[in-house]
Amino acid sequence: MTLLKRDYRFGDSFNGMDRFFDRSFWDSDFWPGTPSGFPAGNVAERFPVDIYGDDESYFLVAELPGVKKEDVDLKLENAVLTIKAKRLRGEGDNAQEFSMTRSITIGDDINADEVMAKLDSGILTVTLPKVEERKPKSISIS
Amino acid sequence: MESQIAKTENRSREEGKVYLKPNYELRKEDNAYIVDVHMPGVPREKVNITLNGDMLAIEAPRIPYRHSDWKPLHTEIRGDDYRLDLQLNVEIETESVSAKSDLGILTVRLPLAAKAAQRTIPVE
Repeated sequence: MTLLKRDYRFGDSFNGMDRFFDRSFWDSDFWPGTPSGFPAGNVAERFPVDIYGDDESYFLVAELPGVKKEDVDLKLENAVLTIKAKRLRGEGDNAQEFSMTRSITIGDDINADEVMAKLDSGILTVTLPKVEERKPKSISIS
Repeated sequence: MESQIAKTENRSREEGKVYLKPNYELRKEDNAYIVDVHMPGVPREKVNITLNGDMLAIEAPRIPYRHSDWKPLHTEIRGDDYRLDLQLNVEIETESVSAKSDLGILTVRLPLAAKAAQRTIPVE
């Protein structure tokens, strides 16, 4: 016997379509009729990312629920930030490890020495300051 | 049971509110089901869990993480509040349902009612 009879998605007419495109091939949601259960093996999952900017910096926000900060690896190479993360699914002996990777092109004007990151309750925020000479400057008219 | 489902759906339509259904995973222990609901950024005190008959509803608001002067360059994260409605197919020991939150994952433990629980029957 399964736990669920039905799993409602009311009030959210776009959800089904969004999820169809968002979910990876391995996600059980992709396959109708399969319980929301274990994808086979140690597969990569995609996670959503937002990128913002102001005059001083770029800000990247990623949702990484279940990930501990020691399990996140950030690498900045040229204009591309690569985020690698892993998390355990389940507890104890039955826990399975999942790896997730995303590479995001941010910009080539980042001061790599000043990049900072924090992870709080599954939300990763990376602050990527722009290099000094590329920040907007106001020009006074003489 | 039908009326309960209809009531829930009507309420949502009346409010005209759009929710984001969080990702969730199910696990089975000997005498309980565990639902791990992905709700990054949600503090535990903001989560509202109700079990009404066989309908388990989990609702939580999204906490904004973005500063007002940040200009969006690329967005994928939806800002709607979370809501997950699951109609359970097994009888749950309502009094013993428990929940905890860690690293943006809400873990709800649903112990099976005595008659649905797995029992080992000794052979005399």
